[in-house]
Amino acid sequence: MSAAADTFEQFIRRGTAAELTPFLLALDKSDIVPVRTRAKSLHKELDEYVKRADGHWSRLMQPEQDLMLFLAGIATYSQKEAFGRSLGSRHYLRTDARFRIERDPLPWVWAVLRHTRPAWLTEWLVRNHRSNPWTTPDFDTLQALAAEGLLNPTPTLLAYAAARQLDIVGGELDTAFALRQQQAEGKKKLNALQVAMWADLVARWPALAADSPGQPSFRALLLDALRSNAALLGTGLPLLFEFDTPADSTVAYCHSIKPVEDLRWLDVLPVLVESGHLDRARLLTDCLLALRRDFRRPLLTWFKELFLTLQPTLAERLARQNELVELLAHPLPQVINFALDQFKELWTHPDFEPATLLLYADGLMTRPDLKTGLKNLFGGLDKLLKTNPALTPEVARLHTAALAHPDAGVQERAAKGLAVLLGAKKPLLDASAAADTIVELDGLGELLGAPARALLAAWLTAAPALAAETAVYAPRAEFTPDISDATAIAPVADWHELLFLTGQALQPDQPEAQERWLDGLLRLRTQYPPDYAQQLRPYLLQALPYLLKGKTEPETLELLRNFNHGQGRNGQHELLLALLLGWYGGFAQPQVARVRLAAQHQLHPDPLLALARQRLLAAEARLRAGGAALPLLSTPSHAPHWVAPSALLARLLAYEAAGAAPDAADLALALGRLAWNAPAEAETARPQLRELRHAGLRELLGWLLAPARATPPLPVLKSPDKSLLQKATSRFSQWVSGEAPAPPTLDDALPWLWAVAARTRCPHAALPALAALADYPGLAAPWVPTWDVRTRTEIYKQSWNQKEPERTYHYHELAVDTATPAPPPSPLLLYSLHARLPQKDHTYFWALAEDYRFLLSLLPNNPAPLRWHLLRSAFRTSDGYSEEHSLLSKQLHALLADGPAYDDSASTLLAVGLLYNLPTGRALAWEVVLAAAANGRLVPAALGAALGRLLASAYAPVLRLAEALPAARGISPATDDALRQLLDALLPELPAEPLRNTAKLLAAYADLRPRDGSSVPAVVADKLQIWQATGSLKKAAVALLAE
Amino acid sequence: MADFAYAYAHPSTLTHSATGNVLELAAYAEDAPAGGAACFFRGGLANAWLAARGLTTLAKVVASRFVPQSAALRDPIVTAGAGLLRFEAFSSCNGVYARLDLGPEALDGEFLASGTTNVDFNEPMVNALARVARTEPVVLRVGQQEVVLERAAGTVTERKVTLPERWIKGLTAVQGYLAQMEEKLTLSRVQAAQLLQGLPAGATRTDLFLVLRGPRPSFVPVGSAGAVRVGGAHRLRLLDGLLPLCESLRVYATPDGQASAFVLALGGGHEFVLALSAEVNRGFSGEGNQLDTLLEELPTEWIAGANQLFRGNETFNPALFALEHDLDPGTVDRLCASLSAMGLLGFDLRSNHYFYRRLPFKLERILKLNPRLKNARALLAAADDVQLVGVGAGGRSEVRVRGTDAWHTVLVGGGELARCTCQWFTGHQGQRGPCKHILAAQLRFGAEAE
Repeated sequence: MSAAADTFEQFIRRGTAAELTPFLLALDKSDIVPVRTRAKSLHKELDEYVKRADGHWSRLMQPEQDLMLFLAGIATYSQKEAFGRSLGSRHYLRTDARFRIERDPLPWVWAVLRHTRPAWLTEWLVRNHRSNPWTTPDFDTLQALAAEGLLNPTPTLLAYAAARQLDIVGGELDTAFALRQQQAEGKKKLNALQVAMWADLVARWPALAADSPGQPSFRALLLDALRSNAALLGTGLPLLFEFDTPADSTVAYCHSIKPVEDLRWLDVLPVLVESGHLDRARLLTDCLLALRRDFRRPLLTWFKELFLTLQPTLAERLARQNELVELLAHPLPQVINFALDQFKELWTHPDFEPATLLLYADGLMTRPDLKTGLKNLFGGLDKLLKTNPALTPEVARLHTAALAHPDAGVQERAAKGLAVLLGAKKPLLDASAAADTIVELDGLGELLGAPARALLAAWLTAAPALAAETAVYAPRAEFTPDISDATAIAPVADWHELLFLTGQALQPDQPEAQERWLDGLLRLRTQYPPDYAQQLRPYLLQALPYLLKGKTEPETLELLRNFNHGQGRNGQHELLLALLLGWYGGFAQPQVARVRLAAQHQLHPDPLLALARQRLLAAEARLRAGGAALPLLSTPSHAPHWVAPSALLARLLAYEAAGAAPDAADLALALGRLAWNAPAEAETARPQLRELRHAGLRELLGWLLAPARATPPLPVLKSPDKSLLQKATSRFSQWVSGEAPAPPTLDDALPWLWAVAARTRCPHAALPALAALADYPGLAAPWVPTWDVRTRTEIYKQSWNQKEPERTYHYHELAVDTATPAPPPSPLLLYSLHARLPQKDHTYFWALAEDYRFLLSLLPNNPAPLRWHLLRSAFRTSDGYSEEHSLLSKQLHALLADGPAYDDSASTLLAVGLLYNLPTGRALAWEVVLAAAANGRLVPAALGAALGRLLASAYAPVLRLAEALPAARGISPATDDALRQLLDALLPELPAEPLRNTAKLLAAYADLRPRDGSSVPAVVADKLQIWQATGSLKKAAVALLAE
Repeated sequence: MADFAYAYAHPSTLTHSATGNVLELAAYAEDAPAGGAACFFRGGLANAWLAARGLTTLAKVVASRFVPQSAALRDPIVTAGAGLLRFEAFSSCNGVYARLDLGPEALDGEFLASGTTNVDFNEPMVNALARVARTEPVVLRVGQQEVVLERAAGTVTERKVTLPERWIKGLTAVQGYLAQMEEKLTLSRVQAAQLLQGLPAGATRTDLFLVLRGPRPSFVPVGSAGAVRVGGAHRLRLLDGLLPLCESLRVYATPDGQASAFVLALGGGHEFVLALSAEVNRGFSGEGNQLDTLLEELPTEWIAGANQLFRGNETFNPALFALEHDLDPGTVDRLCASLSAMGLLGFDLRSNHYFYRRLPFKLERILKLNPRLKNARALLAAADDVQLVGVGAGGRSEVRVRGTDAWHTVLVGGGELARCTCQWFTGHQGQRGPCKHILAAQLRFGAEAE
């Protein structure tokens, strides 16, 4: 035991920094190691958080103890320990007034530093700076440390500190103004530290103490302070141009005087230049040199703004043309555009040397991120040729290179320039250069857009006439699902496959893997190995790592016994997880029933999930019973989610043979997935119907599996007694929410199953027979809501902005009309569940985001209601976040699969996709359009009308659609015809006052028109008549009308 | 994580003189030629403008990063040998590999030594490259007569850069992928210029597939037969300066779509290769595609012997090599994997040959740079962490391997994909190489698993 260490501990426990410092300064060399060891152990002890009596947590270490341990660290720590965690706070070298006004540790810190002179200080500060730049001492402190030989000059630290100096000095001044105000008002007496600080501040700014009314302002005092800091001006500020510093975001605020005043480096540096404290020429050059670097984008913008704020003269820019030219090699277009802007007045100047610029320009011509800049460049080149015609071959070469640019506007501008050079009456290019250019041009012909092609037509080799291949596109009339061996879903083969499938089944929204897993779980019930729970454990750990990490098997079982799934965003994943938990525990305890699908604030579960839950409850009950379990009726037998009629019948017969009643929810979902219109399969299944003992079910399936071309009339469905209906509805609701244990009988459910079957087979037809069941959307008539785009106006008050005290915003939002909320008469009505849900912002969005593919897999025959619900819930605007984009992507991928011609819901969603803000979303939507045009699913008239309505009501800009049309053209004659039909329907929907970029739509329309002399449809002609009065559309409109 | 440090005696420069321009690339070779001379090439560039464009694109690749990441390593490595100069580099995120090959037609000078070296790509030199004119003669020097090693304090060096281990790991994975790749598409000059036109604006977070739609190359979000999967396709914008200059573009991909490569034939012996990892957030250094081949340890003397042989030959075709030396192709694969795990081999898609990089022959790098293999060996070190449960009818072995808080079930052998219940396998389904549990099972029960 060391006496010094004990004394040290006494100081830490009961002393102050003022008492400890002399002890540390007098510390004997032999006591250093014991004190260091004690300091580390004390730090460990005090760095704990404990719960106070009031229930809050607080750190054991008091601020004074923290400071004392820091001082002890400076005095005794080696580099290794200093870089560890036990040195404590890294803020004690900060000198800014707002920090010191609480307490001033600097005298003690400096005393110990001067005495011990730790060799690790520089590296320690650099490391701190890297991990948290806010810990960096201010510029003056760094200079003082360096002056005393305690710190090696470190440009990174100095540069950062120099940038922050504005804020530090501003903070000191702000504190000074606040203290002065406090004294003047006399409301609160200054404490000792504040008195000392006031004295210190007055010593720096004597004008603060004067009582005269004409005192200098915050700005003037701040500038004085900066001007008087020679080290900052000479060493610090030049470093701002060499390192990534916060110079762009540093602001000095004065909150003590109202209105709040702020100053930035962009305000300060030009003043310092003006007063001769900074060299203007050097600053201008430094800005350009800094712009060459790969700094952060905001910092580059700051250098750019600083250069522009200094308003360089033409001569100054001319003197820096080399630096400006070098910016053209920068990867960021903003820097290149800036540099090209600076050349605007230099092109024709006699001292301008274009040779180097032309070399750099070569690399810019095909950069897709440069558009406006390139057009500026072409303008400059035109001017250049007037004063320097010898450069014509070089300029022609640049124009030619730019023809490979992806932007049609750039191409057009380059083509215009090239046409002038090639078509001049007095040849500007010699014969050989002209010939080379034309050869080059010919090779690029295929890349040119229509305007550029037209401009250069005289020099392009005429393309061989395309075969006059035409086709007429028509949507497919019917659809037959592929129920064959090729699409049959292989059941899980053995235990190992089931085990490894578990991991995939727990991934979000993977209905294919989940259905196979569920089926395997039931079918292989008797084949689980004895140690199956141990083998499942890794998947439990993956699913619940926070809960099960480090737990033994008995602890795990105990935790799972009481596991609460919560009531948040429960969905299919949580339901399957519950099944896994039950499986792990040997199905000793039901787990699925614990997953509640209750509505929370803004988190409402999708109503279809209730059916999925009930299906899993039934499955779990069978698994708990042990022995071979009957399969679920709704498990898909063929990809993607079809239940083959023969498979359903085989399962129903197995149920009857086992004396088990089918679960109503499972049967409703099976009917929804039934491939009733696969003719061969239906034909095979029909004779088996006779074997079904349940007459009602036999009749229902007989109707559903009748030949596709002759839908028999629905039988007269018995109208349920009103009180019975209410009772049934209530019981169904309880059953679905898991509150009532007894499920309804098949006979109870049969009328509703008829409604499901009817809408499965006839999604869009009027079925008056169903009116007997209830008056609800999706029964007698399909649920097809109307939609429109409404304009919402919001006015924001901005009192701080005197020029514009109010700002008005207009939002264009898609709204799907929904009737007054009311629950469906039965939760089995798959196609009615979404029709009258209560509508609030994003109420159902998260349920869709989590489980959309699964939900869609439940309704392969008639997904329209779910699509309308999606449109209403997720695509109010075309500018969504990543979740909306992900949902759109799922929906569009679903549309890519084979199926019937798109109904209105699909066409509207596809239109939303084509206009979505994310380019990848639009690219996927175009892929859907092209695939649908190839397989006959596209309904161009419906899609065109939806697009037209959305564009006309400003849901999205026209450009989003127009820019993609050229790439979709020419893929096949049928696709071209479908696109033409689409535009035939779209154009009449657009307003008489043309929208921006309508000309691009007309250009695409002209390209798609058949060359058979037929005239445009009358409705389109009417619109063109109106538009030809508009200058930008006149040429295109007249040409189309003349066909 | 920094494994190797290198330093340059002076910065690379492009200097203009009355007799012509000189591009002097300062070099630091980890495996310097005997005698200390580290000048690998000296001579003229047949088409300096084109070579400068290639080097500028290479500089863009090394300066690029496609995941949030701070430090950028800017110095490519150059391999001189077999009449070629190969400049190789990775993006900072390690998901893009680029190589500029200057063949005999592109070079008019002498190779003073074969070797591999880092070359200094500093900002002024890269800027100066943009100024090289089409008709300007440029002399290239790789390295200089003196290289100052970072030894005593006070040595004057312009820059000091640490070479991360992930570069060597990345080189291993890239050559593994390149060797598996098949040519999928060949685009003409005009089609190459059109390549980026169909690319959706901004960063693409989902996979895109390159297809030829009519004569036009298009990136589509849905795969189909013949389509090439290109993860993070926006990374191809690095090529926007070179695509309009190329004579043709060949597109390669691995059969499993885990990597793609774009080979730009620039003419005159210039070729540029850009390889992309499967996703933006997957660096080549994290791929475990060579782990299977590294499983069976070859005798050290075999590896050392092969190293000497390849070092002399500089390029070789693995199939021909196996035939010539009467070796089993699997053994040649393992030899190649072992050497490439030390960063010693690269792969040339055009000639279908491996080429040799003269880096230090450090066997310990094989384990050090493959932590999964190292961890698998650690599992084997314990007596009962890897237990055989049984061997199935088809030779499929069921093994239990100890994991954190659980035992993992592992299936290996039987000619099927190995499987494991761990999170790595569940997440990647074997697409990023086997997990340590599978490796451990294969190492212990390799004979049963075959």
